[in-house]
Formats: sequence, structure tokens, C-alpha cells
Amino acid sequence: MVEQMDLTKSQEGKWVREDKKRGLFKVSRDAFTSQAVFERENERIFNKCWLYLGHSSELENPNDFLTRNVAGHELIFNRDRKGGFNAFFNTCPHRGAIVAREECGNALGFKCFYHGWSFNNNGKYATRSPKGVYPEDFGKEGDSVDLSRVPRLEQYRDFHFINFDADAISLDDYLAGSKEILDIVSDHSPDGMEVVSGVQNYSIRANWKLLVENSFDGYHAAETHDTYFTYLFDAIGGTPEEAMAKMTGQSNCYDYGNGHAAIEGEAPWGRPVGRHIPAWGDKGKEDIAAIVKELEERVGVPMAKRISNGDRNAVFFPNLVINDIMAITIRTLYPVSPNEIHVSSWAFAPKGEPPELRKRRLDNFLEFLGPGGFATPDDVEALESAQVGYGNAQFAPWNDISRGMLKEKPANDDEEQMRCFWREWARRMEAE
Amino acid sequence: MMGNANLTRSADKAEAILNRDVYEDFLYLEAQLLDEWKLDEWLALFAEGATYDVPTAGAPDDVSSSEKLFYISDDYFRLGHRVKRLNQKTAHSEWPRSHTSRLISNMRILGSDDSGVHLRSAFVTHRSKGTATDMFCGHHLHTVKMVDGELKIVAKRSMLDLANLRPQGRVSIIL
Amino acid sequence: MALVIFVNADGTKTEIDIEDGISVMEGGVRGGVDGLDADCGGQGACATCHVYVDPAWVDKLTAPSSDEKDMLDFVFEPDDTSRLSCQIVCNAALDGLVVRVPSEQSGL
Repeated sequence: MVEQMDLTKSQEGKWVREDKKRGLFKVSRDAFTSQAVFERENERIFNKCWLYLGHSSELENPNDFLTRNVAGHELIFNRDRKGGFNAFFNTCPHRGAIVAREECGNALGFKCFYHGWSFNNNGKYATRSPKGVYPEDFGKEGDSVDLSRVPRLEQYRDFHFINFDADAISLDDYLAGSKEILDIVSDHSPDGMEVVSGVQNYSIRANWKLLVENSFDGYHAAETHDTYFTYLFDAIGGTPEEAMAKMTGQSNCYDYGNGHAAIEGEAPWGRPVGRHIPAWGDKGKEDIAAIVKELEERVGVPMAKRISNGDRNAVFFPNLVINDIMAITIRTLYPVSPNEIHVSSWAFAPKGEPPELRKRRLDNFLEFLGPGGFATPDDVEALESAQVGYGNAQFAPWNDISRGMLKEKPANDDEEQMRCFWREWARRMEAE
Repeated sequence: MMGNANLTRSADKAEAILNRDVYEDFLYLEAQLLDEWKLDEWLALFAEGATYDVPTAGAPDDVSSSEKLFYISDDYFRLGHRVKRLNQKTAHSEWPRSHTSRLISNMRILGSDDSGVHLRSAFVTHRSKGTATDMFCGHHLHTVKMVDGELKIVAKRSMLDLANLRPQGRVSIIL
Repeated sequence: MALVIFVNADGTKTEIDIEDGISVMEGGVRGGVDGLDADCGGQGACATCHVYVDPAWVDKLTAPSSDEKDMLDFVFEPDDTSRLSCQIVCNAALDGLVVRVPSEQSGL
């Protein structure tokens, strides 16, 4: 990155400009529109970074499997007969057809519908043919007739990640400080957490990095989500003043290293794990008091306070979002082109949660999050609007991500968390 | 049936089934009010305590919002707020308003019990804004009943018969 | 439902209740019976779920299809009672079925 920022000139292969002294941070809009950038991202980011695949709770039993597209690759994520986790490319080594064609299930093996090639669920070729049709020893390792394995599969606290780069650093090293977020959300419940059934698969006509920014953007909440807050203050019971008075005003930004970052604060909505709202009544108050008490005994009072009362938005570079707010959402967002994103959004909840509490949590989720919520559609509108605005990039070439740069301690409505993302993006994309 | 499928419904006090054309015209009225963005009049078609659900694309008719993630699971309070929100310019996803056109077809009367008369109809809704026109298709499950001499919706569940919401992206209109 | 008795080469007996519509192989593998490799997981493609059916039961089973007969050519030490256990589908009539699991399955 150049020291002296000359915004009148673009630079080949450089998109991010930072002037720490002046407090200016700019990103070229070419990063959001260029086909060349999109291709370079596939090569330098999606083929090199750890990408979220799924959670252990989605494969509860041995022989469970699910199919999922990750960064444009159709994959099988399964447990074999011994219960071990595997990730295979979902393509028949014969002539390419998709082998596992259901969204999820339980199977001891897989059979390709095209010619009947069959495989053990540990990926091994398991098809016998009449004598003379194939070589006598057909099917040994070097023959490439087993299901191909994704080069790397590792997990942290039951969050499974893959990497297409066989030589990548370990997941543990890669996650660096962001493991804290995975710990916090995993520790919500003494009985473990699970992904709730029912994924929201939708798309946005914008560049994926716009959604990365939006996912941990505290600054936009009041303006973009005005109608949600109007609803919220009516829904939570009591007056807005009472709700605001309860808030301590904590506001933090965490740079976890390697491009991962999070913001943390305190919002007026109820949190099923530990922040009551009058609308949940006395029973709700009791439920939450019991949850908080258990939490304090298990993780200590300071962390219990953080878990129960802290709202957090985290991005794990490049594209895993975990927002622990009025409910917990796990979200992935993949570019299919410079101006289209495929989003998958799941709800994350305590295992064994009673139906009444699960309903309350899911209602909390739906009020704000997802394609039918009171908030997400307006975010989608903002991102699509920006993408349309980038049609003017030749004459209005720069995004500004300077907010809070000169502060000793950036707040959750500043943009330092986005700068963490962009610095890592630039480190990978702008290298020779 | 839908919604409260787990409760044993009484057939004794089953809601009387009216002529078919009454229900058809009612559904056409609902669609027209929505196309014309007359949302307050649309909300008035719902009885107090009514619900409006949109499960995730491809879900089975009897899916429960306590067990699975939906797109929309509005009780009457939230439904009222959905209308209030959409009436404001600050509902940015729908301001300026998108153009919508709702086709309703294949209406069948499934039966009746004490919760109301159960209708099933197919829908194709187009939403157009800017350079994008998106299509939503599926089937509605309405439960309707006479309340003080007027036909009202007690529950509406819109089932999207789609693999996912790509490219549609949002359900910011009422389906 | 059928109670199926698996007898291993070393004499170990395992009794497993298998639901209607589930194969003897699947009931055995999920029930932890040793010696049923069942590499293809029940697709009739690998010939590694071979069992010897107790003579008293051989004729009580639905006869093997021609595909199964072709596959039986590949099993380790076949005899007249040999069957692919993934092709024996359980129902109440098979209650008490006894099968012997061979000491070896013919690897691919």
C-alpha cells in the first residue's frame, strides 16, 4: 500500500489504501465489480483459506451424510461407519455425475445413479465388475476410482472447516483469536449446541464483500433498521427509555488476527441466553435467571455476563459470519460472480431446548434476520443499491472505510473490524 | 391441515362451507389489495389472533415453526407491525414500492372444522423493481371463517414450491 | 420385525431384531456384527456381505436374482447356501433366521 494517498490515480493490482497518520482508509470499487478480482479471489482466497463446512450436530450419528456446495464445489460431508468425519467431492470418479443426490440422510454407502458405481461411505470404491471388463487389480489407490477427498478437514469445538490447499496452516493456527467467538457460542448451553433444521438459502445481487461488511456493521443499524427498532420497542414491553436505561453502553471491537474480527455491544432486544424483556413475562424471567445462574457456575461470572448480555457480530476471514445477537445465526456467503452472492443462513440453538423456548428464540431470529425479517431485506436493498451505484465507479472510484481510525479504542459503530478484513484481503490479493 | 394440526378438531361445530365462488372471490380480493398496496384493508381481512407463516422453500405443509427455521412466522401482533412497517418509506426494501402481480388459481376446499374452512390455492407472484423481476410460486393454505357476518382469515400459510430463494433473495412483500 | 441370529466363524452368536424392509446386512452392520464388510453399503455391487444361510432356512428365502447370482461368483468360498446378506430383506416370516458369517470376505 502506498503511503502518500493519491486518490486521483488507480494502481494496477492494488485496491486498498491506508494512511494511518491522517486516518484515511479507502477501497477501490474495482474490488467489487471486476471479473479479474473475482477470479483472483477464487485463486488466492477461496482456494487457500479455511472455509466453514458444517457443525457436528448436523451429523449426529455414524453414517449420517449431507451434501453442500462450498465455494462452488459440490461436497459430501459425512460420518463413516466408525463415526469419523469425512469430506468428499461429490462427483463420480467414473464420468462425473453427482453421487449423493439428497440433501441429507443416513447411508452405509453411496451408489451413482448413472452406471451404478458404488462406494463405501469412507469413500472407497466398492464395485465388482465381471471378469475381463477392468484390469484384475482395478480399484487400487493410484487408479483414482475412490471418491476424492477434500485435501483438509479439521474442526474446532464441533465447527468443521475445509481447505482446498493441502499445505495450509492448521485450522487452530488460522483461527487465531477468533476461537474465542466459537467458544462463546458453544458455551451458551451445558448440553451443547445444535444447528436448527431449516436453512435459509437465498441470494443477493451484489458483491460478497458488501455482505461481509454489512454483517458486522454497527453504524448502519439506526438508519437502515429504523422500522425494526420501532417494532422492537413496541414488542419488548416497557418504554424505550426504560430499555435504553438498562444498557451499560459497552462497545468493543476485537481484532482476532488473520483477518478475523468482531464487534460487541449491548442492544435492547431480548437474548434467549440471558437478557430478559418484559414481553417474556415472569415465566421468561425465571427461565432466564436459571440459565444465567447455570452459566455463572460453569464459566464464571465475568464470562457469564459477556455471554448473557453481550451482543456480538463476528466475521471469520473470508466469509463465515457468526452473529450472536437476538438469536444466533451462522451464515456463509459465496460469490458466484462479481455481483451475485449465494447466502446460506442457519439458526444455532441449545440442544434439548424446550419447544416454548425454541419457538421464542426462532421468533426472535425471524423478526430481524432472514429474507422475511424486518431487517435483512433492508440490508439486501442497501447492498444491491451499492452495487448499482458502483456502475459509476469510473467517476466515483473509492469506498471510504475510515470511521474511527484515529481512535485509541474503536467502537462497535466504527469500521475498524472491516479494516481488519480488508487488510488481510489486501495482503493476499496484492502480493506479487 | 396446518398450524394447529396437533389439536383434535371438532367436526360437530365445523364452520359451514359456503359456495365456492365466495372463497374464490375472497382470494382474488386479497390478491388485488396486495397488488394495489392497500395493506390496511388487507390486514382487515384477518381476524384478531390470526397468523401468517412462510416456511422455508420446499418445506412440507405441516412443518412447525417451533422446530424448524422459517422465513416468516407472524402472530397477529407481528403481522400488524409488518403492515405498519411496509406502509412506511423507511421500509427500504419496499420503498420505492416494487410492482407486484399475484395470480391465484387451482382453488380447492379441503374441508372444514371448528377452526374454519380450509382452502388450498396455487399462486404465482411476480415482483419487479429496478432491473430485476422475480417470480415466487407455490400454494397458499388459508383457514377462513365468518366473524360477525364477514369472511375473515384465521390463518394463512404460504408454501413456496421452489428449491430455494435464489435469485429472489427476499420475501419483503406479502406473498 | 425378525430376530436374526448371526454366527461368526469363531462361534460368537449375535441376535439382532431387524425391522421389516431392512436387509440382513444392514441390520448386522448397524448392530455391530463383525465380518460383514459390505463395502458398497447395500447396493449389491461389491459381493463382500456374503453369508451362509442355515440349511433349514435356504428355501424359505426369496430366490436370488440373476444379478445376485452373478455377484455370488465373486464371494470367498461360496457354497449352495451362499447369499448376499444385503439382498435378504427382513419381514416377520424370517423370524429366527440363522446365518453364518464367513471368516473372510473377498476383498476388492
